[in-house]
Amino acid sequence: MDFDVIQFGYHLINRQAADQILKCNEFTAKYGLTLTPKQAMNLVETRCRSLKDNGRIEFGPGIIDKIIKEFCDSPFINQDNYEETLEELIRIFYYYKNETLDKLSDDELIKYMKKAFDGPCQGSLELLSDTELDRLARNVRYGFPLDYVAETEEIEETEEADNGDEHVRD
Amino acid sequence: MYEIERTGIIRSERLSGEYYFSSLLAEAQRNGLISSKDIDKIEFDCFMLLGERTNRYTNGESSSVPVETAQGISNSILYTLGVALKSYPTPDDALNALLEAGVGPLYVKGRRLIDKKIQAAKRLYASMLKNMVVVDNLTYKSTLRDGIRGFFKIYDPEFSAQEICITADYPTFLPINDLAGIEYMHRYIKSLYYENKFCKLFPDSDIENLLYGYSEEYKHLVINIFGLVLTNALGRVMLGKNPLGLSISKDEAAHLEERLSRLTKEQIGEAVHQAFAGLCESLNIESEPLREYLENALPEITSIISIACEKRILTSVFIEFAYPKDAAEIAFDFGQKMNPIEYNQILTEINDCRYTSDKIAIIESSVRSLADLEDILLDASFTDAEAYEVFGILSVYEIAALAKKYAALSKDDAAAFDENEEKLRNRLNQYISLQSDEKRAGIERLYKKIKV
Repeated sequence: MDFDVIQFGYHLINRQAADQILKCNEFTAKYGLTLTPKQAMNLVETRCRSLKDNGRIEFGPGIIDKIIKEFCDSPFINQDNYEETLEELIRIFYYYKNETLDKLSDDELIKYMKKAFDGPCQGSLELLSDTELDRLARNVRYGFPLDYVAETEEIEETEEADNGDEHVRD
Repeated sequence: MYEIERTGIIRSERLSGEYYFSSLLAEAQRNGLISSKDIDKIEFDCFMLLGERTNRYTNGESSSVPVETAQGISNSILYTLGVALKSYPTPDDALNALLEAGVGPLYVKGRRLIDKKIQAAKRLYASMLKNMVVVDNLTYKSTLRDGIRGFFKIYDPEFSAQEICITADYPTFLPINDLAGIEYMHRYIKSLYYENKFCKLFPDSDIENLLYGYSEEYKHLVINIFGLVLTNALGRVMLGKNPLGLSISKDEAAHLEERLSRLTKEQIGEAVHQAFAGLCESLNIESEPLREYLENALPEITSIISIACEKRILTSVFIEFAYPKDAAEIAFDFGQKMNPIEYNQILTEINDCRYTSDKIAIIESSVRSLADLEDILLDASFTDAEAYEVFGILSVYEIAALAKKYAALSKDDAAAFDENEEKLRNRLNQYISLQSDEKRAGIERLYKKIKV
């Protein structure tokens, strides 16, 4: 007999969480955001896939409801892109949980993501993942402060911005 | 009166010592003692416990962990449950406890037992350190002093109770299989405790010479010291000699090979067991656990001897002392003296004996340290010839040590010695001069380097 608690856990995860997600509708409705039961199930599947893809296992209700509650007041999320954005945020979250070597708590990472998403990324999930969180992961690995920006990186960004300005003027 | 041993349906010999919990469930399922519903419940309880333990691991700050981390914590839980289940008299009782008490309370019990085992292992380790053999073998010293100490520093019974954490490089004579975590380490320390305790019956310097005889590179070799000592001690008993001498010359080993090669493996086993009885008597080994440990080593020694006999290489199993040529100074310990009452009895017995062979027999069976033998050489009424016979049972190392103490090879005036000491000095000098050139050169070489 192969007694494998972890495998057993994966099956259990599939049965959990959808109810938890639907409960969030009560909280997000005031922002004009709701999820259907089918969309909730899709998010659960995304979560399961992301956990497996990133070699992680989750216990308890997980982080989907935390992401929903943190991001629902974002000016860059509306009912049309709500499910799609949540799916991407879930994938990004688990990926960077690994990349930041589990040194950030769930709440710290979600809050950092929200601040960057609404701030410098201006609602771009691509910028959030490839720039802001990539820098965060590097800072964690090298032991720098979380918001540390290397000088060369700052210059490059300024140059890019300047070039962009010139291009607009032309 | 015989104690009746309770057994059950599950055979304990079919269970794994390392993966006790899983093997118990598998056996219970195989014997139809547990339903799949029971197993589902146990799996569910284990998963819930894993969630709780993981939450503790992350301080509640992360709801997910890498699978490897969860697997490690899961293994730790199953190991801890296994420790608790092993505490029941039979596997059937253990299964009943699992089904009745459930996973949670058993885990708490297992944790408590692990904590107790850690404390017991620490106490045993402290005793084992006191008995360490003073030899220059790096693996022996580093594993016993630093490695095991390191284990106690980094062992984590909360989240990785099944880990050993260190590489226990120094091998025990009998390998320890099918145990993990603190159970492994407790057994490992216990084995070393008995091995050291046995080796401590012999002077450290003799063990060092034995190791040097085994290989000039002994300092850097990963070898079990106890095995070499026990094998040689048994060999000495087979030769009818005092095991304390420890060294077995090439001629003596060849003689043993000649004798033992004629025997079957079973007969060699009997001879080894007989020698073991003689060894225990001669060294006065009364501790039952120590005798048991030594006895468990006999089949392996029998096997080594019989294979060596087949291949005609017994001379490489029984070792002759060798002495480091490059050692600047060799420290020699004369050992501890027996209590005066016992000493006086032995001395009277020796003086009362008519024949030299009887005197020698008493010395071989009753005198356990060179310090006592030295006193006997000074106090007993030996003739010169008898004194030479007594010297004959000593190793070159011991002769050199005695000679050094009484400046027997020095031309200086011996004013510092009293009459008996002067007599012993002259006898030693005379005895050494009568030895073969090779042996005399060996004694003289040691004489220069030895420090008593």
